[in-house]
Amino acid sequence: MIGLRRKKGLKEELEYREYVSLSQGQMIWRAFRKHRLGNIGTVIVLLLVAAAFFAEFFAPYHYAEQFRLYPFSPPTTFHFRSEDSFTLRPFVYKTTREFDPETYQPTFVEDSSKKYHIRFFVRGYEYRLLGLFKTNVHLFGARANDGSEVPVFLLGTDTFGRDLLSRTMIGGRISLAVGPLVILFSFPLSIVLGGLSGYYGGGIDMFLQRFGEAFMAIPALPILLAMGAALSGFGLSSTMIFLGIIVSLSLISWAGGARVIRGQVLAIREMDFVTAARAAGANDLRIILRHITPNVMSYLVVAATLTIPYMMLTEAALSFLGYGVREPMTSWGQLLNAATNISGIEEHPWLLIPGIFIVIAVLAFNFMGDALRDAVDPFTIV
Amino acid sequence: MKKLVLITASLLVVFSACAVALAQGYETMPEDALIIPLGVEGTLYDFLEPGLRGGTMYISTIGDPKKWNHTTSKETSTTLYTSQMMAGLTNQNPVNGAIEPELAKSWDISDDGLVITFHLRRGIMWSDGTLFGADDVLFTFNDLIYNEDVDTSSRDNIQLPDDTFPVVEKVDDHTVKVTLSMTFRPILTQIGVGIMPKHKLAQYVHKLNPDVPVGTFNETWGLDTDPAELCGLGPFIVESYEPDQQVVMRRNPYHYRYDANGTQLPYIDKYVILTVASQDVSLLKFRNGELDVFGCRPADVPILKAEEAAKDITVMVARDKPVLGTTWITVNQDVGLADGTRENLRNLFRNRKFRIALCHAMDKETMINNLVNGLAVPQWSPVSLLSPFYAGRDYYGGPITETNAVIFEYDLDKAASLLDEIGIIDRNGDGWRDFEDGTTVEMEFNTNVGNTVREGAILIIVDDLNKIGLKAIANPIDFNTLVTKLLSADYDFVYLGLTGGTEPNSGGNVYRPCGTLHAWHYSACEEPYEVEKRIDELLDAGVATLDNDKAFEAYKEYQITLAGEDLGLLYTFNNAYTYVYYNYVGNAQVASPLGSPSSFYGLTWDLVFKKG
Repeated sequence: MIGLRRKKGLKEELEYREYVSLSQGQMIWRAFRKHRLGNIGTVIVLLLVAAAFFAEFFAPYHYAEQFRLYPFSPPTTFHFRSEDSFTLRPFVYKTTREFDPETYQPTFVEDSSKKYHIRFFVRGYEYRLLGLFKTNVHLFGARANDGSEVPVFLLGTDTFGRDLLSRTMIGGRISLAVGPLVILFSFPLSIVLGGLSGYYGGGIDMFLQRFGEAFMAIPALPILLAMGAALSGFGLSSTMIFLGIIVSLSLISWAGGARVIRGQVLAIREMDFVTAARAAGANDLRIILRHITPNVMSYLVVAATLTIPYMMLTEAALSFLGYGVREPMTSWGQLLNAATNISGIEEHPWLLIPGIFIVIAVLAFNFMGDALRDAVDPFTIV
Repeated sequence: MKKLVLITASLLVVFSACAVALAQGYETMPEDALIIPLGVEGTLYDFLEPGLRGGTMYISTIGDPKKWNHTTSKETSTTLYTSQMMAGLTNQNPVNGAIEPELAKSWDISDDGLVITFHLRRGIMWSDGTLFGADDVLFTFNDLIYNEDVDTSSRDNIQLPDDTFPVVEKVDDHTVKVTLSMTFRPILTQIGVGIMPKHKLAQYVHKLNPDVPVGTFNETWGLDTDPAELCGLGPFIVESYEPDQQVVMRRNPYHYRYDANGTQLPYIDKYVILTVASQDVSLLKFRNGELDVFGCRPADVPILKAEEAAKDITVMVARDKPVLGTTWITVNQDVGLADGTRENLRNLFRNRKFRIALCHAMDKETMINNLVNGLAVPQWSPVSLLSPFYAGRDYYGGPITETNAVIFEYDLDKAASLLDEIGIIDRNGDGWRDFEDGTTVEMEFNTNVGNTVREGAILIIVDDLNKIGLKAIANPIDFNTLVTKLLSADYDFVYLGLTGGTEPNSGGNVYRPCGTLHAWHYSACEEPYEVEKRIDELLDAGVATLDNDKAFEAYKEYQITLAGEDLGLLYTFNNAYTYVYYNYVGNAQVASPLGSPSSFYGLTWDLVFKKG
């Protein structure tokens, strides 16, 4: 081995020296950066999170605003060419819904007498950016030269004429928030109960593990459906129902994490440094928090990244079945619910677009999670 | 020797089975057969054609039947089948809605209208070959419908306003006399209940056979009954049943209807009713050719219309024929009464001006255009548009001009100013209107989860109420929970629908102060409002005259009082009658919401046939 290394050039030698002198965090970061798919996933995740934070800015209209004359409007067509001229500045026409008296097929007819140009940073409904700054600036809108406006539906509308882009933006905020919120509730439970179980062992371990197994034995989806149905019986607001869903998801998910943490703690407490700490007179709480927890941290980070897409999917399934978030609030799964009937999919295929967002987000989180796992796995570091 | 006995016995069984199988149908057309003049010029049926015998017809439905007993059936998922097996003395013609002779070939009415003599058809047999007669009619009324042991909803419909029942007596084997204690105009409609076979069922009625316990009849002809035991006078008899899969019905070989060529009805040999999980499944199956006729939803019409030529199908859209029945929102005027809470809200709900404000906040046009493709009509009355008693008509059976209908146009400004007027205003500047004591007015709208049209309608109403500052939420819940809430007066607003007929009196259980479905004001039974007492009187007045014009006047006032003064139910809209069939199905165009409301898609199934 030594001979081999000597044959390397100076550059490699320097790199190697730098590498062995790196801290663990730096090594993880280095390994993570090498994972190309993981990097792409991370960029997408960051974009989605940014979009969720600035959702109102990207959404041209309020997510619950009903444009009642535009039910099931297809995505608005952008024009670059009028009768004779070509312009790089896109514009749209006003559309009117008309019924064919023969086929009963509603169609949207464009009125090409007036052009409405797409403009950026237009004024719309008022909101608080990041919940702090009051503003009414939105990314885009369409306005004619005489100042009259017409709604632009980039992704079309639903049966009430609500803008699907605006709903997808706000719905994304809910879908992306479910994972972190569930982690916030369930991870402390997993850490405390798993930690106690692993550290003390014996009767406590026995009791806590059987208790956790009881939770793991409950079939998740039927319980979630039952809880969703029960929650609706109280006439709660949509926010409370959302919190109820978070708590339900946390209750069914903490036990799995607690079991893994118990296993890790069981191994770590036999390590020399724990024995040393104990010999130095540290109490149990200090040992658990200062000596054991940092060692299970890498597992927690990876588990968290992989829990997020799983929770996103569970929430989507729940909302899709009509037991999740309540109208007029929305999430990606709830938006897909509108596409459950055949006429919905066949005649209004744009209703399926929120599904694409779910797929992209889940894939991105999984790629990021994979990369993170590879990076923190001690066997791949050296 | 034992063996021999056994063989002989089994031979006997085989032989008798053959005997039954041979005795299928009448040898010659009975003298009193009912002739349906299909395709005969100058008759009601000249737009139809005589058909061909044979073939199997496939249709679908959601939900399994609960029993095969017509008298004790309560839900449409059961009567869909039992109404095909049974027939009544009279029947409502599906084409023009007139009351016509069915099992009775004619009747005489005494001058005072209190005695009606029905002359029954002679030589008509039950589907097992037993002769039908006056005893079956007497059994149905005196031993079943008037019998307190029997759990039947037919009893309420035939009860007279003075709480007596029409007396049914036998004159001879083919004549029945019905005597009333007072004038009861809809008697000819209400007397048309399904006649049950005495020779099969008398043994299960405690009154006639004390050996069986009280209430046995209510369990008779359950789903576990051998279909060979069932018999009836209607066009079809259940042949087999597989739960969650299908019901097969076979033609009644002894049916009494014939076409003008002397061919016995029904034309089709069998019809198979598939049980499906949802209307979407039905739509797929129909487009796939697995169903011959399908009662599509308004939302399915554009898809099916687009395939009309390619698939050789016909989509029937009768915009002028809205389905019978009502859809409405109830405002619970007893909210919180049971536990003495929410007095503020209860007083608000009892304020007529508040309910008028709600009416002005209902955007029926958007509901119709956006939720059901424009295939519906707004509803303004408890009586269906198709009824000759509909208040929007000028006179009994007259043209619909909406002159008398109480119409509240969609006008949010008007709604808001009405709320201001009654002191429901925003008192703390949070954007929501408050009660006088400063607490916010909060309300919840419920409907059954999964019904997208209803869910959509309450979202539109809630959106409008929010616009005028009323804090309302939409909360669709499970159907059974919803019904429990409704019947126990534990709700704010419920959006649901009821089936209905053309006779306004049949709404008595809903609109009379003591009605079992008077769900928006149950306390009215003890302390009725003046307007509720008036409704009760008008419902009585509507039946206590034989003069349709007089009845029309009473019912007109009833509708105006109910929809304009009482405002217990806020009506929404009624879907247009829509269905679709393959063009190889003959006579399918006879369907109508008037044709026996519980039959599949309103089709007169014994006239339908398969071409070629």
